[in-house]
Amino acid sequence: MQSNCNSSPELMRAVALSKAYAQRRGLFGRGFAVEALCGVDFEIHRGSTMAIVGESGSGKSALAKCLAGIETADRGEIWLEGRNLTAIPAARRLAAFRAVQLVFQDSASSLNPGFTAEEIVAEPLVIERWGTASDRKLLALNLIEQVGIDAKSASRRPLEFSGGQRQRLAIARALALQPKLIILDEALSGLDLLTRSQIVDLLRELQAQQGLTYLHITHDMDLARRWSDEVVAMRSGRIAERRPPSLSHAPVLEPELADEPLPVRVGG
Amino acid sequence: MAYLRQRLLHSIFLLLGVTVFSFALCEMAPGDYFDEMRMNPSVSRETVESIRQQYGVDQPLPVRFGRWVASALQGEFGYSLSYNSPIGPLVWARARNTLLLTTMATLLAWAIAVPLAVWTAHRRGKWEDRACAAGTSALLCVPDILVALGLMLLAVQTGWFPAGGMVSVGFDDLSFVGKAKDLAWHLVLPVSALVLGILPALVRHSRAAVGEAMQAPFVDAARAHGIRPMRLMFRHVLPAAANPLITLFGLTVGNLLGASLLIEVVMGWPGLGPLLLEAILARDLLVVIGVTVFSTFFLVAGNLLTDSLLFAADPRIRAEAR
Amino acid sequence: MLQLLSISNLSVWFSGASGLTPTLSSLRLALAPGQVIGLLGESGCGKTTTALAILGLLPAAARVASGSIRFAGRELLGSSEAEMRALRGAQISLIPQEPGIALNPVLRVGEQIGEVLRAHLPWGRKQCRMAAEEMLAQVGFSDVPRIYQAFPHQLSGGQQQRVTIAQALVCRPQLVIADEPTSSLDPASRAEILALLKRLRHSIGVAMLFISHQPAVLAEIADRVVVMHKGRIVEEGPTAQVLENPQHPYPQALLGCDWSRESYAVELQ
Repeated sequence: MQSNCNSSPELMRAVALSKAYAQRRGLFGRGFAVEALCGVDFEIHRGSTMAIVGESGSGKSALAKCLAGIETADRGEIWLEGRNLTAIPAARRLAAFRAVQLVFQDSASSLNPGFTAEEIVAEPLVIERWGTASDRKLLALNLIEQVGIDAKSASRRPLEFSGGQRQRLAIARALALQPKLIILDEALSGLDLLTRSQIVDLLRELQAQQGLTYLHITHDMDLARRWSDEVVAMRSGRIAERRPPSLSHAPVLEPELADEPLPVRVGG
Repeated sequence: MAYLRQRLLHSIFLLLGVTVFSFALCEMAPGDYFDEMRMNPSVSRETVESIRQQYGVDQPLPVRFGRWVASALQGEFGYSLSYNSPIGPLVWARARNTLLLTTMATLLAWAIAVPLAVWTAHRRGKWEDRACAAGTSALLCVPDILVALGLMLLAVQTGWFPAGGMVSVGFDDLSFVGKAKDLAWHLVLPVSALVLGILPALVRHSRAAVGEAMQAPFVDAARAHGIRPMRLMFRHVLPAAANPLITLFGLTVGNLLGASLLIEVVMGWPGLGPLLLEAILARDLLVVIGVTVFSTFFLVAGNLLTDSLLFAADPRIRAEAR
Repeated sequence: MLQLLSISNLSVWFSGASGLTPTLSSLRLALAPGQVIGLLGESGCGKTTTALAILGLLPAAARVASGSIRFAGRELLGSSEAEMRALRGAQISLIPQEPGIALNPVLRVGEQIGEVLRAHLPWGRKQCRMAAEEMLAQVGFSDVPRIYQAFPHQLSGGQQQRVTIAQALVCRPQLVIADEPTSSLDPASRAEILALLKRLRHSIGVAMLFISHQPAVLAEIADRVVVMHKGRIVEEGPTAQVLENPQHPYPQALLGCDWSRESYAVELQ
């Protein structure tokens, strides 16, 4: 596997990202903060694949959401191709994050069950007011074929597809706005082995054709080793270590103790 | 417990808010009690004005509100011009009659709805379920007033039930048992009309709640453990379906004073309904406000009851509240 | 030796929008007492249908076209619902895939274990409670009184799965069907649950039909592996043999995609 790490230009850089989620006991109770991210720094190069591993509560999903622009970090900066996205005023920020798209874990709930496959894939185009209705339809059908689903099934609803096919639709939707970076948040968990392998092949193919960059979040070390140029391990909101995949042997992180209650809260 | 204290505080604020709001709205509506008198040519304008001053109707809004609140705190809630008595006792006497009617109807409706819902959920898709759905749809389509009039017609044609009213002439001379029987005899028709009005929505919502709980994966898992159908329904399904049912129950409690207005007017039941109607027509505004405040109190109490019951019954709500 | 479970020539059809589709075709399976057989296959291969057929919980749309399922010498197909109910949970029990939704959210966890006991034994409340607490200790909980009183949403995924395992084993069944019990868990919990199941299998001596789409999991616990594809068995044999040297192209392709293969190949030696 060719390492694209240092030879190609930097696509995205995160500087000292921090995010805490405020919670409260009741309406008048004392507030406390759950620190999801504590000063995360890293960079990812164009055309490469980065795997982020860690246990639940390590901050992986919070990181994905901040990088995609769905949530705003409390502190820190995000640079995309030399542009400081966090400095853009809130009103125009979301448009700038268009180049970053997310694919989620549970395809059954991340695809609107009332829409047809074609409508789902075309939706980002509708939101961006791109082209005419027939242009959008054509592009959507093209994308659906590109991810390996027969265009004839484009009028079916998500629940009529298998899990693997739904993830392909989610990928097609992510491709609609020609993104530069696709973040996959546990998108391959729960898939059958053959299906998973086929989808990784598809993603690799798309990467070769379109020069995409991937950031995929997983708790499966074998997947991370198999499909990445670099593995980043997160723990308690920080990056614990980064290694090339060949040197990443499980276990990087200690397993949870058996009887411990749900995530520890950081007082605040 | 902090959760319940919170809800109580909310409820009090809500009650105060509604009171101020309804007072303001009522008083801002054009016209007052003495308008009819003004239109009467034999009464001079000065007389009307002096009467208005006497009753304090010409004072500015905040002053009237202040006086009303003072009166409310004494239990009088102002003075009714058409009935010539303090409003508090007047409304309460009528409210008792309404509550008798609606409480019986609500309890009866729930007693029919829940077993029916459980039974049809059990027989999902079969003819019993579909017949019940068709029946409730039909009932929903029939206007309440038609039901009431239909029952009245039945009463008049057959003579089995009294055609309206709450008690017969000579009620006070009857023995205790006699009084109870007379009251019961008069209750049959209004209660039936009310139950037929409330029942369809109750059955549908209950059926949906039980049906949804029955489809849950934990019910399949319990079945895989060999748990018998009866125990499955009562110990596993119903507790899980309790959440929406309790919310619905709270709503019906909140509606206890309002549900029967139409029935009372049509069937001559001396409850809040006729009182409210007359007061509106006569522009006896303080009576309208008094009735509104009473009804709101019940609504708020119903909400509070729902919150408390949910807190007790659903551990997930207790967890959220912490 | 008498087989504990013996399925022969089982065919199940589903009637749906497009007519009848065969979900299981001439299935043949045998399980000895105390043995663990892994059922390996992808979604739609019929693994869950097999489990449901054994338990007599096939949905209304399913029709058993032919075959027999014999358990401890008794024919299960054609038994009455009451007879099957007596077996479920007591002789044959199920460990579900997603423990979070398989537990009743408004009942305490300990009581849910107690419910299984009450369904099959004429015990009183106190006895049921004691047995439930003992089972909770056996599945590895140290603070048993607190866990008994807990509601499912207060427990982690791994803890919830331990509770469903307690429910499945509390009546000491002879056969446990584990339906992908580790698929919805993270790797740490997965390891924990597998270790627990291995331990319990030896201490209680229960036979298992372990359904999974992950060969790595079966490598750890199964004595034999049966590979299913589109409703048929395409390969079967001792675990090491099937997972290291599959003969049929389908398991060959499947195992080729299994990137954990190096880690369990070491274990299988």
